[in-house]
Amino acid sequence: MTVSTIYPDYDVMKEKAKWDENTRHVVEGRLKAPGMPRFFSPQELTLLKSALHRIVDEEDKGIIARVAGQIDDHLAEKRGQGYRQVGVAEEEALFRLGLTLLDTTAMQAYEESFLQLTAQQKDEILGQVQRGEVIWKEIKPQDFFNKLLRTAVDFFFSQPEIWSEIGYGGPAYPRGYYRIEYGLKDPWEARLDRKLVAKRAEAGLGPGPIRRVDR
Amino acid sequence: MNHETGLPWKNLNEEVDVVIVGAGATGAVVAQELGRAGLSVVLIEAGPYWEVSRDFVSDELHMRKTAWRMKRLTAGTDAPELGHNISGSGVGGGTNHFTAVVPRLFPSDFRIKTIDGVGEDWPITYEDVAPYYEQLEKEIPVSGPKHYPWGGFHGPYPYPAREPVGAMHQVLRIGCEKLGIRSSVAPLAILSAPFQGRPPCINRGFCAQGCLPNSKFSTLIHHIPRALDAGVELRHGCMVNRLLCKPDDTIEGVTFLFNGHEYRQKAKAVILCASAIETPRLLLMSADGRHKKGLANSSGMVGKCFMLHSGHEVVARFPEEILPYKGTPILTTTQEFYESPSDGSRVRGYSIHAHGSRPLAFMKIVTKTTKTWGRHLREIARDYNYFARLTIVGEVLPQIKNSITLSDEKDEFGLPAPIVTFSYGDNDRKVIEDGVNMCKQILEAAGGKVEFICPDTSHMLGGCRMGSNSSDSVVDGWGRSHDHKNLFIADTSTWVTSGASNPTLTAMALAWRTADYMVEEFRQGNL
Ligand SMILES: Cc1cc2nc3c(=O)[nH]c(=O)nc-3n(C[C@H](O)[C@H](O)[C@H](O)COP(=O)(O)OP(=O)(O)OC[C@H]3O[C@@H](n4cnc5c(N)ncnc54)[C@H](O)[C@@H]3O)c2cc1C
Ligand code: SF4
Repeated sequence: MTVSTIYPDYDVMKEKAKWDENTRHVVEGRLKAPGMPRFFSPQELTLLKSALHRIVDEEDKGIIARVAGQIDDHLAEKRGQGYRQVGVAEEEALFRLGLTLLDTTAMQAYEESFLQLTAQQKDEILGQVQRGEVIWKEIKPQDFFNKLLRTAVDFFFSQPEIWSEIGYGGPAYPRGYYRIEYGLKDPWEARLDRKLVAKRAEAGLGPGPIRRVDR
Repeated sequence: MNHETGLPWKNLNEEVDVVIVGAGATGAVVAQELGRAGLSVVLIEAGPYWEVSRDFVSDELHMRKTAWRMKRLTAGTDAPELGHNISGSGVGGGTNHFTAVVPRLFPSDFRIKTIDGVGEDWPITYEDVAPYYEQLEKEIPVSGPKHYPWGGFHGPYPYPAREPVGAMHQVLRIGCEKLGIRSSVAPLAILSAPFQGRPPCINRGFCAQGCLPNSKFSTLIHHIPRALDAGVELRHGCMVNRLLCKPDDTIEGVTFLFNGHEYRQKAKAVILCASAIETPRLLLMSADGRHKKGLANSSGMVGKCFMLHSGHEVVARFPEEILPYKGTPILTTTQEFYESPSDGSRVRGYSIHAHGSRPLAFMKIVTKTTKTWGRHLREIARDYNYFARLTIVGEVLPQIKNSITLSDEKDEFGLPAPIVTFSYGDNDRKVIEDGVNMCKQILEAAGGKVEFICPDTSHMLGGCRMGSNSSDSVVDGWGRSHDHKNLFIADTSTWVTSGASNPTLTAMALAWRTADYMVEEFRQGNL
C-alpha cells in the first residue's frame, strides 16, 4: 500500500462482537485464506492476482490472494448480476479470455509473461488494454478491463482492512448510530490522526482542519 | 403439501379465482386485498422466500443476492445498468432493498400532454389515486414532515418526520437554504416511532441491503404475512413462463417452472405484478398461433414506451468529514424543480435527494466517472468520508423506441432473455443537465467542491401502458387488458409517464385500486 490512511488507529473488526451473527460470519469469511480455485486455472489465477496488485495498487499478497479467491468463488457460483450490454461477452468469458489475452499481449510487447514484467511495464500494458489500443479478436479489450476494474473494486473494498483504512463504520446492526449530524461521531467510529491530516492539508491535499470530535 | 400431487402447493389442480404473478411491491398489495375479500388466490414468485433474520446481513457485496440476477441484455445509446440497482427478486421484490423514499406523484403528472404538450395524459387523475395514497400512508405507515411544500399533499404525514438527519442530508438543506430553495425531510416508509412490534430506525444506513430491525417497510414484512393470514397461497421459486389463452380470448391460467419442471395453474383471472421488464416479457413470451405478437398486444404497445428515471449522481468533497455511511441513505429532498419552468428551458423536471453511500456505491461512482485505477484510486478512496452525494430523480418522457423485446439468447430458465433498450430524448437530457447543475450549486453553496458527476438511472416504468384507447395502450385505467377481459396488470409497467417522484407508493396505490376493482367485478359476476 503506497497511500497512507488518515485513521491509523482504527480497526473496524474491533467492533465485531457488536454485530449480528450472520453479518459477522460473512465478514469474517472474507478474512479466510482462499482454497483451490474452482473457476480459474492456477495459471489464470496467478495472472489475476498479478493484475489486481496493480489495479488497486496493493502490495499485500494476502489481501490480493483473498480478493482473487473471492472473485473465483463469485464466478464459480455464478453470483453475478446477470445483465450485460448487447455485444459484450458474459463475465465468465471476459475473465477467462481476458487474462490469457493479457498475457499474450505482454509476450508480444516484451517477450515475457505478464507475470515477469516490472510494475511500470504492467501498468503500461493494462493502460493499453483499458484504452483499447491492443487488438483482441475474441473480446473487446475495454470490456475486459472494465469488468476487471469494477469487479476488483467491489471485492477489494469489501475487505475489512480497507474499510479500516478509509474509516468506514462497517456493519451496524443491532447497534446503529446515534450521533449522525454534522460534526458528531459515536464513540466507536474512526478517529482522524491530527498530524496526518495537518500534513496533507499543508501539501494542499484533501481534508481541511480537524474537528473537535477528533481532538 | 398436496397429497395428490406430492408437491408443496395445495391448489394446483383446482381453478382458483386469481393467480398473481410476482410477489414484489404491487403483487403483495394485490394479494392482501384479494385474500381479505375472500377470493381464492395463488401468488407465484420466481425468487426465494427471504427471511430477514436468516438472509439479510449488513454487507453491500453479499446483499446483491436480492437483485434479479437472471440474464438480461441492454442496448441503446444510454443502455442502463440493471441488477441490484434496478430490480429485486424473491418475496418482497424491489421493496426488500429499496430506499423507501415515498413521495406521491404530483396532480400535474397525470396530465402532462394537456399541461405541457408532451407525453400522454393518463386515463385517470390524481384524485382517483388520492384516497389510496392516504390509506397506504397510514397502513405502512409513512413518516414525514408536518408540512410538505410540494405537490398535491401538504401533510401532515401519519408518523413524525425522521429527525435528526445525518450530515449527508444536512448538506442538502444548508445548500438549499443558502440558495433560497425550499427543502424538506423526505417522506419515508421508515419508522420514526414504534409500529405494531416494529421498532424505529436505528440509522444503520443499509436500507439498500435490506433492513434488519424491520424499521423499513417492505411487502415481505408487511403485506405478505397479512396475505397469508387471509388464506393466500404463496408459491416461491416458481417462474411463470406463459399465460394460456382460450379460443374466446379469455385467459385460462398460467404455466410455471419449478425445479426444471413445468406446471399449470388455472384461474378465473390473472394479474401481472412481475415488474416493468418481466410483465411485458411474459406477454411477449406467451405468443401463440392466434396472437403472434404476444398476448394483450393488439395495439403493438406491449414492451413499448419503457421508461427509467434519470438518476445522475453528483458527488462533492467537503473540508470536514461527512461520514456518508451513517443514517438512512436518503433523508432529505427538494422537489422545487419538479414541473416545467416558465422560461421554457425544459419541460417537466426532477427531484433532488441527499444520498448517503457505503464504500461500494461510492467507489462505483469513482470508477465509472474517472476510470481511474492504481494509486489514484486509493487516494480518492482514502478520503471517502469527506464526500457527499446528491442524486436526481429526473422525468423521462415516453418514447416508442425505448422498449422491452425478446432476444435469441436464453436465460437460466431456458426462456428468451429480455433486451432492455433505452436512450434519452432531447428533453430528458435538458432535465438532466439542469438537475446536475442544480446539484452542483447546492453542494457548492454548502461548502463542497464537486468532483464526480456520474450518469445513472433508477426505477423501471412503462412497457404496458394504460389508456382509454385500445389502439395505443395495453390496459385501461383500472389495469384491465383491452384484449383479454380477465387479465389485469398492476405493476409499474402500466405507467403512462414517469413523473419525477420515486414510484413505489403510487405503484402500490394503483395496485390497491385495481384489486378493489377486481373484487367488485367478482361480486358482480363479471369475472
Ligand atoms: C436499489 C433500489 C432502490 C429503490 N429505492 C426506491 C425508493 O426509495 N422509493 C421508491 O418509490 N422506489 C424505489 N425503488 C423502486 C421499487 O423497488 C420499485 O418501484 C418496486 O419494487 C416496483 O414494484 P413492482 O411490483 O412493479 O416490481 P417488483 O417489486 O420488482 O416485483 C416483481 C416481482 O415479480 C417477480 N417476478 C418477475 N417475473 C416473474 C415471473 N415470470 N414469475 C414469477 N415471478 C416473477 C420478481 O422476482 C419480483 O419479486 C428502488 C429500487 C431499487 C432496486
Ligand atoms: S437505516 Fe433504518 S430503515 Fe434503513 S436499514 Fe437501517 S435501520 Fe432499517
